Amino acid sequence: MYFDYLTVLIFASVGLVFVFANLIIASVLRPKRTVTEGLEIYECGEETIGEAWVRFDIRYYTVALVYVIFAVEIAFLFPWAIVLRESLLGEGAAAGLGIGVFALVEGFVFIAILFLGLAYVWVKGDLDWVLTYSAPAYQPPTSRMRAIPTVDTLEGDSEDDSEDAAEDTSTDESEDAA
Amino acid sequence: MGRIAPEIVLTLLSMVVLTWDLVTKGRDSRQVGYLSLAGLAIVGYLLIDQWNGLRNAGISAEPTPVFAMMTIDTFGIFFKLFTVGSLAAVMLFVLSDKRERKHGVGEYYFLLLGAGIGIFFMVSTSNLLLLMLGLELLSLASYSLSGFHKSEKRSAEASLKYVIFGGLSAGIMLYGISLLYGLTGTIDLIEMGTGDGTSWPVGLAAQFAYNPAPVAIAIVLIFAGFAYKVSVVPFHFWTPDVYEGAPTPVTTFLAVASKAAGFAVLLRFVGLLFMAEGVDATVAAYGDRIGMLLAIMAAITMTLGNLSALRQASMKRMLAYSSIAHAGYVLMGLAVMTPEGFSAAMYYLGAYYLMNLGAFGFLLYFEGVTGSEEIDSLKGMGWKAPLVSIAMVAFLVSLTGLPPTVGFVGKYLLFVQGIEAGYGWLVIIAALNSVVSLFYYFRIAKALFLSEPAERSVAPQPILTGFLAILAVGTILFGIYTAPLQSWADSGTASLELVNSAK
Amino acid sequence: MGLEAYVAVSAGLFALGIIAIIVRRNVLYVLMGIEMILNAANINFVAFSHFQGDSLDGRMFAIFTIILAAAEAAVALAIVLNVFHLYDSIKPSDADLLRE
Repeated sequence: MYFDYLTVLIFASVGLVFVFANLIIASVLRPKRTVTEGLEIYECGEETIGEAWVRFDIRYYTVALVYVIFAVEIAFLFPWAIVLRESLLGEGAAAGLGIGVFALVEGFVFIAILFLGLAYVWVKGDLDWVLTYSAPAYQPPTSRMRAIPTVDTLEGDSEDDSEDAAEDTSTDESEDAA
Repeated sequence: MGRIAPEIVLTLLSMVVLTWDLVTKGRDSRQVGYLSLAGLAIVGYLLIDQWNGLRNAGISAEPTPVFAMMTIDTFGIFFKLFTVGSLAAVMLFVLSDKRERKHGVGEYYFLLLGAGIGIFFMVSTSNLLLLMLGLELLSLASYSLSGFHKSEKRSAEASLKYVIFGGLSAGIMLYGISLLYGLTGTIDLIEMGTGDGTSWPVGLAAQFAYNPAPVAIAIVLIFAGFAYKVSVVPFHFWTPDVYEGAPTPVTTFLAVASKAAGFAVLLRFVGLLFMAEGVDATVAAYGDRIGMLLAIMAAITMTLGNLSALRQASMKRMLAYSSIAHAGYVLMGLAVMTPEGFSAAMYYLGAYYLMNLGAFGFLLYFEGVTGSEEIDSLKGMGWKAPLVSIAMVAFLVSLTGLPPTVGFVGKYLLFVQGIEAGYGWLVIIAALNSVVSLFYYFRIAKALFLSEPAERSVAPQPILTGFLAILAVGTILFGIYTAPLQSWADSGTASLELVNSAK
Repeated sequence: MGLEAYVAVSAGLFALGIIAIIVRRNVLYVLMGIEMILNAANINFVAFSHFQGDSLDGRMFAIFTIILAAAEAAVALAIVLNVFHLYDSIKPSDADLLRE
């Protein structure tokens, strides 16, 4: 009976190994920064210490939205996968329905439609961290928004306070990674 | 598969349109528009083919539903053709309007087609899940469309109001569906109506005996969702604001296609639950009370719509209130709870298509000329654009319900059914309302022709003018030859297999 | 635990959602209220499905409701963002160009 939980044990240990292995590999591979900005706590480009009521960068919204598309898709794919397996192997509740191949094709049609959505986001430039899309009538008032620094302006600016600098570093890194 | 060919083609079309727009980087959105129109023609052809196939076989519905969910019947095809017609008209509006062309990028057509797919599924199912999904697909596309002019404050505000009201009523409706599912054990309307109460799914009959209050609550909650879609009081608050703020082609779509789709699901819901063949007698008897509820809603809706329309200076807002009033008239046909009443309601929706599309087309035409929605800005324009203005007078006559137009026949049919079902008071209210509506509709005609000819010159818009002329001819032609539209409406109703519920 | 407990929780959630929509002036809270209503319906669906034997309809409905909620939230937030750009406010009462 306890044997039933062996899979759970394996799953948990693989999870643990995965987390710590990645941390160790990262600590070996990543560049060692000794400047102050590099030692700041890094949290997705946002300032980590200060008020909670800061206005987050609008570009997170797009990323979150794209994430939602693919996160919610899973809710459909799990039932689909189970029915597909039962139907193709001929066991379980969906065995006698004879919908195996049909369900397979349907599933891929579903995924293809979702990927059209991804392609749309991609072509419109919403996956680029520095937005390329610009509509003339749609510029937000600068007084309200934090200026979004480009890589070029970052090189020159040095008298900014530390919060901007921390953000700059992270932007830099993400640019390098790209 | 072949039986849902129109749906498949429409879905493929929407993806091709989106891909085309992506590949060409939105350089020429007119191409996308023409592509969409061509695709819609194919969908329309497939639908007519299905309709004829059913009629030639002497049946009104396919015997087995597709995937046990979608019923292919004349009722659904009637509304699908209605939708294809509205979509084509709206796309024509977008294509012919210079200002819309500025915004008229490929997404416009994609969202319209997406809304069309939603309507296709919701009008052809008795399954509440598919109905809800179709309704939401339509709603989501409509929210985005009404805010399509992103840099315009009014458009943004319209979409905000629409999404709040829409989300609220969709939630309320979903909660009602969950209660109904709990009470009956099924999400299929046919099983709900015909279940005999001895085993799951029990159907409504047994629950009416034991739990009348929860059933009533569930049905009222679901009505909230439909009432919002067709903008019936007290779920009409969004209508004037959204109709005024949304781009005019989108307003046209909301007022014509979206509203008709809402009525289609309402007709099917009420019909299958309370009036279909095989429905338990206790449930059918309960239907009369639902009829009374609908009659009261109809009376309040048409009165409020007409009285509010009286004092509007903006033509767009006036047409919004007028569309609320017309929802009240159509609701009369539902309230009588007879197959003939349903047929009259469908006839009226057909009439509504012709005359309201015309009125909104006229609005679009003059927005392009004067840059204003005010009725006063039309002063003397009748002499400058005579063809369009005469067409508009035909639409106005029809909207008021005067002969010899299709609107008159529609109202006549509704009134006859109302009197036969014993709703004399409702017919009197409706007749008084028609008199009231005369005042505000003819303010437009008066501004057009009973003033000094305007100074402004009017640039010709040949496509729109031609389309409006065709609609005007249709308005009068169908008012004289009533048989075709009537037979379509009758065979549409036939597929619901209704029996008389009213005594 | 009986079915009543689930229905009571979902009814409470539904009522809270409605109250949030009516009382709150901030559109984000209104959207949260709508999500609460949808989740109230979801609890109902799953509970009824569990207590009614083999009927899977309710569970299926619940999965689709999750999708609906996500899609609606995405569209609603996009619209709210656009309103915020233009009006510099996310209170529906501040967007008041359209009225009698």
